[in-house]
Amino acid sequence: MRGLALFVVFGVAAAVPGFAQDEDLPVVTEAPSADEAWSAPEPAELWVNGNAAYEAGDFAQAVALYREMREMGVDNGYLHYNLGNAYLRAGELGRAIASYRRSLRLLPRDEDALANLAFARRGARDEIAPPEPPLLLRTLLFWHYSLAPVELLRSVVVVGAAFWIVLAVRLYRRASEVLRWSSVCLLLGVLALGGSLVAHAAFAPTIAVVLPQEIDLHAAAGEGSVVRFRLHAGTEVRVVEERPEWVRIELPDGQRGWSKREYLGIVD
Amino acid sequence: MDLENRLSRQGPRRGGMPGHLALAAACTVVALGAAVAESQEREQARVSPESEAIQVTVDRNQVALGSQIYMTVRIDGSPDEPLRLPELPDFRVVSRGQRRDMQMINGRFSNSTSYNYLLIPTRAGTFDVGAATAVIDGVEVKSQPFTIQVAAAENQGDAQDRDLFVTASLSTDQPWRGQQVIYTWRFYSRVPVGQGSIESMDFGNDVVVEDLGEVRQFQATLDGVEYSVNEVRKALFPQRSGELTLPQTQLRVEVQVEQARRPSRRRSIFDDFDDLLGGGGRWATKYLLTDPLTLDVRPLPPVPDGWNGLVGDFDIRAQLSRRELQVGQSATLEVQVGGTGNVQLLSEPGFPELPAFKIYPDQPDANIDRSGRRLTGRKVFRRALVPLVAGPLDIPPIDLVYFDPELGEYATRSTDRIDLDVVPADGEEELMLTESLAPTTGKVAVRILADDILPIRRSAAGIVSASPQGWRLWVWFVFGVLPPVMYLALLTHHRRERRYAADRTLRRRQRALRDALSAAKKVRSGTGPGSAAEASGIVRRYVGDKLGLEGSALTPSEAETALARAGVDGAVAARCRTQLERLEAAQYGLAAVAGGGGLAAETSTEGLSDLIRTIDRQVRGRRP
Repeated sequence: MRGLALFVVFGVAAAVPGFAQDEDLPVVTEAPSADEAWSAPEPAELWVNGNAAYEAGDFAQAVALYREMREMGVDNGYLHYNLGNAYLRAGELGRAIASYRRSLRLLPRDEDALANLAFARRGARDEIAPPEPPLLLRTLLFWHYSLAPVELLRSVVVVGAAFWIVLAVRLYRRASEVLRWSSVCLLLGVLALGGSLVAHAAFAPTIAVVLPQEIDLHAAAGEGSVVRFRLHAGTEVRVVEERPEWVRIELPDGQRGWSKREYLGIVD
Repeated sequence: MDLENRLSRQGPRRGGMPGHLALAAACTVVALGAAVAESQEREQARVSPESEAIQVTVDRNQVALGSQIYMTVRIDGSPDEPLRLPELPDFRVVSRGQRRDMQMINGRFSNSTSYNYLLIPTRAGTFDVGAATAVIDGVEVKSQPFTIQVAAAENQGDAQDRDLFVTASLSTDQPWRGQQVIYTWRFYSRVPVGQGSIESMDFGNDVVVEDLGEVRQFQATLDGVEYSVNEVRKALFPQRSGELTLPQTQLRVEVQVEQARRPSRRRSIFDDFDDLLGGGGRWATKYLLTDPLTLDVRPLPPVPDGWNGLVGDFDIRAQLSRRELQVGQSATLEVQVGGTGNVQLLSEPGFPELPAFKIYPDQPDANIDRSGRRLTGRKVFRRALVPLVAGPLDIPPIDLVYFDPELGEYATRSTDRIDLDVVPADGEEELMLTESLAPTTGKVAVRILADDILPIRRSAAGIVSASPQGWRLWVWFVFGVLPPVMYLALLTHHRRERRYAADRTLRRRQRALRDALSAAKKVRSGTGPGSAAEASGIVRRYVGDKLGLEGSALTPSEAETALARAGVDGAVAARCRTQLERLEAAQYGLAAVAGGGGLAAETSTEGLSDLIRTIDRQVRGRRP
């Protein structure tokens, strides 16, 4: 049933250009020349050079190039994925996990990112389960956890348009039961997808990943405060409060502590 | 160890509350504490201290083998370093804890520390016990050495003289290397004992040890004395030749050394509580040691071909699941190897070459029995055999070579030759392997040898942002907003059309004002008949459209009446009638009736519009 529903959602939405996770886009192996029809040649050059540096084993250079793309405003799941790989190869476990999580926020069904995240998590030292929603919730609200926000937006638009069209047709064919139930189903679809979109925008939990090998978690936001506990690189925790220089995090067992912002990779 | 629980069931528990004695003890424990400590020390024989600051005392310095000695080292003051005991190679030393005493005598404060030990002699003889050393306030102090005599008086053979003792024995003391030797440890007791545990039963690295079943309990009579016996059996497999000394096994057990109540005293109600709660009496911890044992392990003769380490008594059997089959069909060859001895080394015998068969090996089944008096085991090896050619075929005997310790030489056992008759297949070759795969499929779990991350992505999607930006965002916005707007427009139109369809005059009423004003803008202002007719028609059409009447057929008085019915103020209705009459008069050339000069204003756009708007406001305001 869930598969059928996903098929319907994705089937409808896939008709809209740019909805799918762009698996069929061409592989970029050479930096394009200036006269080629790239809308942003500079990111393309960085992309190719970053990939080349990664393949050559120069992971620090790959990280630098990928990060430069990020600073230019490029933000997509593939970039975060490659960045995660480069971080992991460079030995920066926390940044790698944070990058994989960012990748999965944009490509939630990407199996490679899921696999690499699982691989990276095995290197984390703390025995703390990553903050994940319960399986029951993930099953019941499968679309919420299977679609990226941008996909939800497109789905809302497409399903919403279909809903209005069906309503319009119903004005002239009021006796049609098919149209009636179609409009009801489409309305439910719009509400579900729209609700997910709102939840993503307003209520999505902010996750933080520990970046240094070990950090102190203080009882209050300040260096002089009592150190309540320590966490190690790669541990994923939930952010409950943010200040300019300090972030308050919460462990799955409810323990809370403050850390300096620079020690955490915030995934929001 | 399991022995602990078993022993605890043999007698009353030591931890039971001794009824009224507990109450009495609770009241006097503080007062009696110091006195008890002093009396204990008085009972002990002091061994000439060399320094007053450190004193070593033992409860006795002449004991029999199997007994134990309580030793106390008392240090006045606080030692700067841990106490150093003298070398005691002929004793097992068990720490019994320490005690600190503090006293205030004549205003002077003093403290001392007492270390308690239990010495268990391991052999008979006279042994010098060296000085114990301590450092107090930076000064090293030593106790005076003393001597302990251990006599072999309480001979192990005089079992009837003792209440409890342990023994250890071997099934043979001259085994071959790898031969199974049964080690039997027994604990004999004829007094109530509490909890007990075997604290050391270590056989070293030169012996492989296998447990043989659980601790056995039984009653045994030695020289006419009945004992409760706990027995532990182990199978030992010496791994090297030469003399092997098995260390002593030490048992720690709680023993009741004093009855709870004197037989002469009359029983009271508190005695019943004693019985209920486990009884009283005084308990002591006893350490029992076995005698050391020695194995004289004989080396094995030169190794023959095919021997894979088995020492003991073994056999081998083979059977084929079917003797008649077609080419391509399968039969299962089952070879069982088992026996008594070092069955851990049971391995696959050398299968003969069988070029006339396809052979599919299967996982072996192993079964080692540790519950009996000796270690036995059996292993089953299976092969799925698929004949490739027709005709009489045979499986040659399969040999098993092992060393027989009884004979002192290597022996060989063989299976019988197995004949089978293979006929040509009916049709094409059909491999029927299900028979051999049924018991155990032969499949093995996939082992992950190494893991790594998946490679990077090279897709062009990596250089564009995932979220729509710029004009794409506007396209999505418009695409999202347009459908509902269009639907609302369509809905409005649809509803209006339905209302028009339901009320045929509605469209005329709604459009009356607009049409009249539009026509008034185009009227030719003037006093001529043409202008008057045009203006009259406009007003009449308006009144007719607005009230749902045939306007062009209205007379001025009908118009006034209809307007009055529609709720229009009488003055306005009269004005309308008057204006229509004047226009009609002008239309038909009755200028005098029309009133001459004012007609131009009434036929003007402004005049008509004013009249029409005035009527429209009245009609609209009074509509129910």
